[in-house]
Amino acid sequence: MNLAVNDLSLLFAAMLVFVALLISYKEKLGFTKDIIISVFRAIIQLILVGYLLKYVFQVNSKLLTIVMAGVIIINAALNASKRSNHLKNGFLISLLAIACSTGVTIGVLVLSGAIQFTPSQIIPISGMIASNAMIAIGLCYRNMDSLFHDQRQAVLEKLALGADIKLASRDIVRASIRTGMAPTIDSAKTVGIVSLPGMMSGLIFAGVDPVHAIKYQIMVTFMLLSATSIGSVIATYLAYKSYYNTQKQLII
Amino acid sequence: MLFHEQDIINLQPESYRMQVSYCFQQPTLFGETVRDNFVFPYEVRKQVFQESHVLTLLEQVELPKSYLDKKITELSGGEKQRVALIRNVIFLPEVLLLDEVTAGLDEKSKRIVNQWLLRLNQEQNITLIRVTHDTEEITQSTVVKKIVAGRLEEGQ
Repeated sequence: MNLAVNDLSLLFAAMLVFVALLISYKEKLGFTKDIIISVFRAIIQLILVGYLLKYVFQVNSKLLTIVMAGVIIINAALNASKRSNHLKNGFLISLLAIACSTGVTIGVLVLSGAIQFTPSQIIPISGMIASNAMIAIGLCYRNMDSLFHDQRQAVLEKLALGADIKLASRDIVRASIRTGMAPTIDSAKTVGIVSLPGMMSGLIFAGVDPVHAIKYQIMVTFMLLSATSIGSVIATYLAYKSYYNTQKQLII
Repeated sequence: MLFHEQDIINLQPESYRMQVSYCFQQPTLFGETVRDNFVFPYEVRKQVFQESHVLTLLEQVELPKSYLDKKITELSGGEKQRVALIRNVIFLPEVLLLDEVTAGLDEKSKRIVNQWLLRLNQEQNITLIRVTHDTEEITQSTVVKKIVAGRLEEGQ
């Protein structure tokens, strides 16, 4: 293994941040403060998570692993629910969607023997799944918000023709799910051609044979397709109802 | 508000809306073609699309049968309104709520729509409740209520 990042090399690498700061300053983007805060947040969060994961891996407890995965899922749900202004139970819907997508996907991976139920495998995989599901669900919410506004008149007409809210929202729901899943499908199409994604790069960095590393990346591609589709479908089908009142009237 | 002596709040919204059908002043057509719009009421009722029925209705509003597969983006305002109205009466409602449906239409379209609506009223027994500024439409009506400053005037 030839992992040469040490504190000094990181300090030199931090100069890259100055490039971003310089661009922000020269182009008057107003991002200077945000960049500094985000860099410090990233450093502090990663240091904390580094020590936390070290402890969790040493303890090697199934319960602690589940708790850690739960914390990841809750944070992802909190973040996803901020992507819509209209959801009444945004957090609960997002939590259910992300928990189901993470649970089902990890369940299949563990049962198929692709990964083992150990903290060092379950926690990073949970993070990858929950984060991708969170992004997909966020996209679904945002797209659904704009489509309900853009297609308000069409939805009203469908309701006026006697359609139930599911039929009246069908096109919007489908388009929202498509939007949520599109980035995962696009990146699956270009994986290996455009990007050498995190899992594969990490293993190659750690000295694993690339031919072996791709097997993990193939697994990641499968699991992200499953996670984003399950997450998008659950979140969208639960969320569209928030746009109607009990009299089945559109409330935007 | 009562419908068949029942408060509409207590009625199932979907079935009420099928019986009391609302027509918009500026309708939006969905899908890509006129056919998509006519298929929708059948989807709502989970029934098989009856092409011959909608062709008859197209004829009644003086639109050629070929319009069934015409793109909605190629329709004029008057044609769009006629397609939208057909959508409302493919399955006959008891009441048609017409919200200034002829406002903004050219004279020809207005005449066609009004004659057809009157026919629906007389032959199919559909009650028409229309909001209008048009004097000709007002004279055709059996009961006229005036709204002044947002309030229904009494004693008419």
